[in-house]
Amino acid sequence: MTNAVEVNGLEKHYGEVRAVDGISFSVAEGEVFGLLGHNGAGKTTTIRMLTGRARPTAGTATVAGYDIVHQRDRIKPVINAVFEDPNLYERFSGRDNLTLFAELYGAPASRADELLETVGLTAAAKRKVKTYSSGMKQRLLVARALVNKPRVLFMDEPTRGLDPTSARELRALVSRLSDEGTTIFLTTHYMEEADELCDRVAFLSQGRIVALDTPRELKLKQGERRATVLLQDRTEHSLRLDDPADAAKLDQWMRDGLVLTVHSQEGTLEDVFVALAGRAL
Amino acid sequence: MIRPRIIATLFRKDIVDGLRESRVLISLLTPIILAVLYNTLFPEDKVFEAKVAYAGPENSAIVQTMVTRAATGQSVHLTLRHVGDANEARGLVASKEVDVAFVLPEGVDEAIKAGRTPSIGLIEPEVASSASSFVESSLQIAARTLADQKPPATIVTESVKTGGSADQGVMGQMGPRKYFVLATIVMMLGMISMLAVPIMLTEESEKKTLDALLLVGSYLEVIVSKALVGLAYVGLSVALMLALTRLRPEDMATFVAGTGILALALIGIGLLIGGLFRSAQQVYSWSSLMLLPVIGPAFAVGLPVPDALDKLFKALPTSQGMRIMANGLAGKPLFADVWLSYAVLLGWVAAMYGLLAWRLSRRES
Repeated sequence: MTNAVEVNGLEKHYGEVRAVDGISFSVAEGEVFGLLGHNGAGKTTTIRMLTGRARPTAGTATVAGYDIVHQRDRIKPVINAVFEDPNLYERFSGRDNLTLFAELYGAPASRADELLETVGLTAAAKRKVKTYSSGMKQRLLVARALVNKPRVLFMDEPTRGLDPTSARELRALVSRLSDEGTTIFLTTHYMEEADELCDRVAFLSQGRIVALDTPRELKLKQGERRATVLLQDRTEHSLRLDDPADAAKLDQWMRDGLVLTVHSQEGTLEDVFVALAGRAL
Repeated sequence: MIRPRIIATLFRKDIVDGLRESRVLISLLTPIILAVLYNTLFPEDKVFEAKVAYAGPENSAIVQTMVTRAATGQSVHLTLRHVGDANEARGLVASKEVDVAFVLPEGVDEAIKAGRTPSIGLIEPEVASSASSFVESSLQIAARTLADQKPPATIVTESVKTGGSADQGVMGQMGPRKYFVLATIVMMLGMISMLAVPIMLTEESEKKTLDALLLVGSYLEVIVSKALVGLAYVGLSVALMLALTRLRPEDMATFVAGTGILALALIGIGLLIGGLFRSAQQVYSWSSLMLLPVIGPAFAVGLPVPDALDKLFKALPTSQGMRIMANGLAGKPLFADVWLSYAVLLGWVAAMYGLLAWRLSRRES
């Protein structure tokens, strides 16, 4: 199967600063791929290069099989993006925003109404965007990004600033798009979100990829395996399963019949990230 | 690569969206209001109408002299009406159908030439008008000419160079109304090009809608669409301003050429400015400072300014645009060296769009 995104030794320098420093990875068709990292780690620069809005200093990359430098015009019709900022035309209605981009992409105007229904904004279609709530704007951004039925969809912090309900709805939409075969390239600060949505994640730190795997494997390999033990005397103890002293302690409590409950806990992506990048997101 | 579909879509979007943006709307409306104000403050250049009836020989040299004098003087609009006799002429004056009438006896031309002194009757209302004075003086001049009388003295006119622009008399020739309305048109070109257009471009960047546009289009297509919107606003606003002030360029081709090239040059400057600022509010705040050197020279063209300033102004696009447009409006060469004006304007166009292309190539890399 062809990879939707193929990146080899990609670099972007701004003067002396290496915003992206030789990253390589690939994203399979239909995969949800997460790129996680601190602010300034190089996530947005990577997306800018992959969407043809910045030229790499070194390295190569293809999106949907097209070279990001020499075939930018062929990439444009098959990708789209949900940006971190609600960059909509606020003096236009929701429908006018979608109709504009439908025209730009050469899609039929009826696509605007289909998408408004998909994201649940039909009732607000004629209202000016400046009257929309943050959640509505975010849904409209997603609708705009789907106007050309992209093969690869880039989503930069799509749930930032959303209330829990709107965020959950958006995550459900991402899952649905993925099920329909759209490749999704996601950046997020929310580790639970990445854990829930992504087939694989890459941790980016200072422009370099420090880990890349499925969330489960990353947690198993890098995460701290723990167990919370509740004893007869109602005291609770957190034990590291990898620590022989803690393991011996648990074994002794079990022999003495002191244990009421044991809850095992695998490491979180957050733990993995802290272990690899040195600080939390 | 430039795709007309993308440009046409962005053009339609910007034309509508621009009018919804209050700062853009202000830049369009302010000069129009100012032009209407000037048009009201400075009344129509004084050309009075003289309706004149006459009886007697229809093709008399006296009548021809009067017609020639009215045509060359540009201060009277003469309407002549030949009638059968003095009574009919008197009736027309009484009924106010004509302002004044005169009666030429038969063989009047020959009589004057022969040195006789025929009587020419002047019929005027009780309250004489400027038309009466014009007819009376015309009759005197015509009679003298026919009699081959030399004028009592010869008046010799000498022009003395007083420094400053050689085109100082232009406001006098055009009249203050036309002059100030034209200067306001140039001001409007400046405001559309250097305020409305950069506000629209900067707003795309500030609100990051440009990021969304660049996913489907190119920066060049965005720039071209903004330039076209600027030209469309200029076309519509100039037409509206001319209609409201009832000014009609005598040489439409020259007027349109001057307006078009000047707008193109100023839009180039505006697009460059648009890339320098981070927010539309910054553009708006700095606009008065930026517009001053652009609009100021347009108002100074044709006014007495020191030589050094005159030379500086001649290097600026608005000054040269104003010259071409003034020639177009008047339908005669009020300003000489019009080729220099075109050369300066085209130089500005080449320089501005060259800089834009250079900045575009840097942005693409």
